[in-house]
Amino acid sequence: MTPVIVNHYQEMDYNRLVKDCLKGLPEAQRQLYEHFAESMLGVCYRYTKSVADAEDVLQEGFIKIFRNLHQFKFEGELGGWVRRIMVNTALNYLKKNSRYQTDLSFPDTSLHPVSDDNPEVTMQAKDLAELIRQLPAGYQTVFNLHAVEGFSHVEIGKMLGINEGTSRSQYARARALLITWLKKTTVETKKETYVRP
Amino acid sequence: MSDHEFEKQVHQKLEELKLRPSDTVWMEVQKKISQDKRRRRFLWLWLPMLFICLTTSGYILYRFTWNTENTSNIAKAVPASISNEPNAETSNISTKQTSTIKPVSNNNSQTQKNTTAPIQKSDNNQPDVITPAAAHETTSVSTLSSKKQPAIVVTEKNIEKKTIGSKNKKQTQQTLVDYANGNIPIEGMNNITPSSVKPRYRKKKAAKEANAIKDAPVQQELVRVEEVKREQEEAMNVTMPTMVNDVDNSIATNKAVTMPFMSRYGHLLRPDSLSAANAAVSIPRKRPSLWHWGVVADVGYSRIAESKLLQLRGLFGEKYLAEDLSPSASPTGVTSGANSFNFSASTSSKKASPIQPDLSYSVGVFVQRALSPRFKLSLGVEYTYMSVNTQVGQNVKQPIVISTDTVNGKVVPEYYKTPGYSSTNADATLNGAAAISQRTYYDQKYRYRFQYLEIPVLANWQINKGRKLPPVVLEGGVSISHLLSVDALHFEGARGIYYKDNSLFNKTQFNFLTGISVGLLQRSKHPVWVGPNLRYSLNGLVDKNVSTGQYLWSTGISIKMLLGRL
Repeated sequence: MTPVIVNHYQEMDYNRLVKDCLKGLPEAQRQLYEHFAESMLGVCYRYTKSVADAEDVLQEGFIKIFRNLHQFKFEGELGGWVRRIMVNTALNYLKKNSRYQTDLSFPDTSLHPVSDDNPEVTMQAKDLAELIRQLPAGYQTVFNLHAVEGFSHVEIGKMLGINEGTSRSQYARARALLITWLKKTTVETKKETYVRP
Repeated sequence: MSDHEFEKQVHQKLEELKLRPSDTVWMEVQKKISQDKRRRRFLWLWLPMLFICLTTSGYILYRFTWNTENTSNIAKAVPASISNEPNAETSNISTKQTSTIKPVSNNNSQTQKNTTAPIQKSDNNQPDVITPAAAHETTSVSTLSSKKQPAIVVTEKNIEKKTIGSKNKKQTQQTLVDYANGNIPIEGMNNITPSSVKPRYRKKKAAKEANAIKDAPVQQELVRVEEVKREQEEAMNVTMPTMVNDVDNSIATNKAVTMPFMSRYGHLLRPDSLSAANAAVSIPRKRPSLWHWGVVADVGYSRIAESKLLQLRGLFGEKYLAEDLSPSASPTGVTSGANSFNFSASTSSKKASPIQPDLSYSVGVFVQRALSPRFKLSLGVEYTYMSVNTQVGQNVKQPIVISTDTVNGKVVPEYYKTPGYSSTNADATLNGAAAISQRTYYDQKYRYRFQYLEIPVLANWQINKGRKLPPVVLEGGVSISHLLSVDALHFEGARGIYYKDNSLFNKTQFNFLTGISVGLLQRSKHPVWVGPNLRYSLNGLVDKNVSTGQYLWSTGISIKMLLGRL
């Protein structure tokens, strides 16, 4: 079965949709939610440790989006705007939630070099996300912000209130740890694949 | 592979990640949105209602105060006019409207004018939300989300195993037709359901969560038995050292595990931290302005108080009589044409009417700067109207020379007598009952009106944190006000006359302001503060060389609304 890849986001008339949402039309609001909910839950899922937490962040994020939709000036891309609100909401959630506070820490460690190891990522997106979620919360946040969101270490330092070097160090450790797990998972999968027949 | 190949792969993979949220998420979002809508609708009804209620209560309060203190004066006037005037013509005169005013002079036209003059009765008769501009500037994330993202890669395995395609999906497809040109249904995208966990069981324990993840179809295929173990290790941050082959990585891993975690992160995360650019170029973040602006209005009543040491007569409801501005030295005879007075020996000082409170209000704009979350300074510009009233007698449109300690021999075009019976020169030609019948009682209300342009400087201190209860703000400050116009009288007790002389009023007033207010609608765009306030003049109303001290003050209900940031 050939997977159907549809990029109907670009075909969507965002301006009309946003204007209808601002008018308070429930259908438009539902439409906006349906468009972004699944991808945004994927974003939230990477920053949290449970699906329930991710859904909490998603809910909070969408409430913010609808409350502040009047600030969207149709200059940038709606998807980017929505995503940034969601990432921001996720960071706030981590800050407020005591479970994450104890785990989120950024000790000023010495600079750790980024390894040159670049293994091929063959696993599914969900599984990769699961591995990232098993990183310590601090590593997880920095890794998500740098590797996935594309923030520089300077920006991450500003966002999290840490040194740029700390961000680099945390990222290097997170990367090394993740690569190790990736290799292990790949080996285990191959073994199972071999044993299964 | 290049140095960033791993990151690219991770980025690309994770962009594909789509999880189907439970239906309750949308229900909760929808509930919140509708609550906001109702709150906004209520706001626009509530504000005019509040204003009407406050204005009405202020008016009733004012009327009540005025009526209570005015009853005694009317009661005195009624028996006098009836007993002395048996004539039928006179008896028709209402006790309140006893001023069939007669002229002081013999001028008939003047008499007619005064007769027709009506007696004045009460004539009150931002979130950490990223701005779109910032989103536009930082194209890396958004571009990735739209261009690099291949939306969804669906495998046959997933399609077979998925239980998605629920009712919500169908609804989505239907609604999409309205907005999408392609009309390609969402159902074609077989997204991954995160788990089989029932929605909204938010606060489940870790064990339940582990089971939920384990139940996911993809997980079953790839992770199997290792999954449970990993979940258990997760809590301990186990780094699987046995699997580490690379020496460098193993060192890094062990360091990470043994490193003590300091709880620094909590206060370091900022809500608006993502407003900075996410691209390689660092863009300075815009901090929200600490300056706000808004409108303020208050309505109430004003009085005049006589201030002496430890005594503020008139401030606490005592009766305050108009101050006698006669020269402190023994008055000398002052004459003015035909209207001649010689009171050097014969006339004793007359008593003035009490000054009654009357309406006051002010409207204006202000700017406010937050110095701390609970301490703010504000500066404004306001138009202030204050008034009091008193009872005066017959209006005499004849020039008269007035004299005070500083003003000697100034002529004013007209004056008012004190309330009471008065006989004219014409009465002298009459005799007996006819003369008595011509005596009329002169009593009319005269409203003193003061209009100021005021510049208040206020310090606002929020007493409570305002989380569970609405914030309560205590405010205090000073203001400087400039007299724009005045319509008021001075009293000269020696001759018992009221006259106008605006030059005697101080043009500049310094006021002490205080008040307490309760914050309402704090989560809306236009928060409102409502509460009582007090304004008291620090310097006298009248030139201190003439007056011993008349102080204008007002009290009422103030409404303040923030309209936006500067």
